[in-house]
Amino acid sequence: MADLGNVLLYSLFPLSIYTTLVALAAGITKRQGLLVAARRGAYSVFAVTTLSVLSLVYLLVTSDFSIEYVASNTNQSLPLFYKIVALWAGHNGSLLLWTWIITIFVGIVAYQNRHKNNDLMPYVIFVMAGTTVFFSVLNVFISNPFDTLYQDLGNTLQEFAVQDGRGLNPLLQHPAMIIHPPVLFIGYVGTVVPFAFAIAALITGKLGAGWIHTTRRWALTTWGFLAAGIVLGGKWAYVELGWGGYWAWDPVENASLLPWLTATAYLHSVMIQERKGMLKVWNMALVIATYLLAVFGTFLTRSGIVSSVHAFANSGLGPAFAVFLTTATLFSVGLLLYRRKDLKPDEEMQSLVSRESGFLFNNLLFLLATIAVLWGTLFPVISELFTGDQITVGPPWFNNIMIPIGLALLLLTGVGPLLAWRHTSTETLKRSFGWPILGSFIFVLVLLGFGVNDGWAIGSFAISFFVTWTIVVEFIKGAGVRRKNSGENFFKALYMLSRKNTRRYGGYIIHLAIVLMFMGFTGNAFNSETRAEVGEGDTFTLDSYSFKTLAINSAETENYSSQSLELEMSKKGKVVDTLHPERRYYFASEQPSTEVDIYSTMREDIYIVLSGASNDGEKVIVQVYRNPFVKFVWIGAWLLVFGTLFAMVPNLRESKAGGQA
Amino acid sequence: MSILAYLLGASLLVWSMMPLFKKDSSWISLYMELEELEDRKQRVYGNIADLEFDYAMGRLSESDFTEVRQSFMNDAGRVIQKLEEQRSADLEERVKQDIKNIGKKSGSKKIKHQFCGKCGSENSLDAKFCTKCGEGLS
Repeated sequence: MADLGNVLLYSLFPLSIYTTLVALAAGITKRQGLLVAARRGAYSVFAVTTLSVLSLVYLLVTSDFSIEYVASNTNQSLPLFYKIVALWAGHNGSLLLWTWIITIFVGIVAYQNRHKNNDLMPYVIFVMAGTTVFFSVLNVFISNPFDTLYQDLGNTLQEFAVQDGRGLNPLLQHPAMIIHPPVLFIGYVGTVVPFAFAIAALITGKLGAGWIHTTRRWALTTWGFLAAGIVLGGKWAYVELGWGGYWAWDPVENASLLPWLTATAYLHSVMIQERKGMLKVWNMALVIATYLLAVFGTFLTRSGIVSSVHAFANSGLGPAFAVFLTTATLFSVGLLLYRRKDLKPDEEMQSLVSRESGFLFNNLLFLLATIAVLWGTLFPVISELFTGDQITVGPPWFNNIMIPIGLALLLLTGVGPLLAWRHTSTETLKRSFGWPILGSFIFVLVLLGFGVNDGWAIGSFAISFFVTWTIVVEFIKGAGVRRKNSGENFFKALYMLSRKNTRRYGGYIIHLAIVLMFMGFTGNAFNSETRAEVGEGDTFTLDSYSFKTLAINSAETENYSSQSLELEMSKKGKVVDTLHPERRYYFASEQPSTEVDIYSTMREDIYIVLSGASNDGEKVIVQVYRNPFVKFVWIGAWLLVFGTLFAMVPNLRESKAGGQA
Repeated sequence: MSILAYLLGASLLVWSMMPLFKKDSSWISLYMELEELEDRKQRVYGNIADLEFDYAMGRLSESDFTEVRQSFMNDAGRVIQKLEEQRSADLEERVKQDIKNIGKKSGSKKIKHQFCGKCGSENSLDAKFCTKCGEGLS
């Protein structure tokens, strides 16, 4: 089976090269036969990769410990489910997953467009298959998951198998971690589709709205997956890493945020191109940047160039990535410069107070955010270049810059949609914003009355309040207008209104989701924590909560030994719950892991970590964090996924008496 | 086992190379001006719809609305006029091209596409309606 998988993986290399070349030839000659051949090449690339992945899964499930990857990432007693998902637990396997997703996308795009976009498709396949060539080089020659274990016998090497594998990294044995990599990878890899179409449009000179229409759903899907992947990563860090938070501006986290920022900017600025024919170069640049940042993110994660809690160790991929990134950057930027004259705007900006200028500010802010995050992430590398030391900028640096930018963006989600295209007069501004602004002021006074005194937090809550108000009014007013014309009842009107323009109202739902998430982020301003050494029967407090240690237990399973705590939690004298934080030691991987226990309500999370035994060994150390509003982040994320799905539903067309469907 | 993989890889390669040896034709690029005009038409229509919605939602004063709407309507008129001119020019061009090709093609040659009589878009042969404008195809 290992041979089978390996040969299939090897055949991906010539097949993807063939597909790239034939696609290019098809583009140049415009011959039908070449295009059909390129399409078949795309299907073949998908077929061999899929079979190769299946054979790796087979090896993992049957625990073939002669394969290094299987031995390093699984062990005999690992549950079947974890054996399967070990496919993306290690570096080589997850790289194969990556390649597999690209080939799936190549196949889907080739199939979707088999009867259309004849001019663009050769170059689309060319770009996507070209990317596949690069990843197949990595998979086949540098990080091959089918490598066998070798024993050095003097001057010969001999294959051998170990008795049992090292097991799956305990940190990865968590549901969020299992879906986080595929979801994020789909987001990362998905950026190649709009990129390929943009490049095809640049090469062929067909720079109209065609490529944008074709990739609209792809762009949105990619964006949604990126967002979901980022949040899942945060959820995993929160539940599994045991330091009390979900986001630490770690380089690998930033790597996933960067393409998301530019993709978000693109989803907004593309609307100006659709309505006004402006920002054509800018949109192209954003699509290109998103793809390059996605590849760069992979590079950052894989090369070990910056140290991070969950980056893969230095794996020798750095130079290959550097070459690919440089080539892709030069190629796409060169093309963009070559075509810049053909991308002239059809109209000019007319007023500063208009929907289009709102989008423009939005884009400026996203650009600023991208640059800031990129700079902060690369600062260790840059500083090493000049000073010889890696200087890391910490979370406070990022927070100082990103909180104001984030709040300004949040404010725009409330203001932008209320502005009319072209020009909004002062009088209508007063009408649209008068009440929400007044309401927000009153809200601030209420907050002050309740004793909230953190400036940023008050700002964030006030803006959230304002944005929620304007969005809700948008829905109600829109339904009202529709009701007047159609005579439907309010809920029917609301439903029809949003189904008739799913992109607009899906967008508003996403804005609401972002508001919820910002509420969650703002909760960080009110965090508190404590640390206690406790034995059985000991008590300690945090704010209005008090804790009592009922028991300290030890247990052992096939996979790990563990120590756990039975902690009774009371609030104002009333017992609320008994919590069980745990600390495990996994035998196979020889790694400890903390299993936190979280008491979660809408108002706050009580997050309890068993950090270990005290110095004298008689007591245990417990860390308790009170994190207000964390739940809003997860709820917001669900709403965001819902909004994204809603925006992808095709618009409802009404049938009228005239018979128009 | 690995012999299977070799066979599979090779046969996939052969399968994807087969079309290279068939007699084929090159496709005709759609006329770019026509596409661009079509884009612009869609854009103006979208703008008018947005404008009416914005007005209904009270984001524009009445005078702004009438003024802007009129200018959009003029735009739409101009674009439609240009589209008509372009289409008739394109049709003439296509007829000329077809006449030129009459003797060249063998009878067995399969036609892969048909063109919509209303808007001139390219459609697959089995399509019942035009994918662009929805006009029925014969």
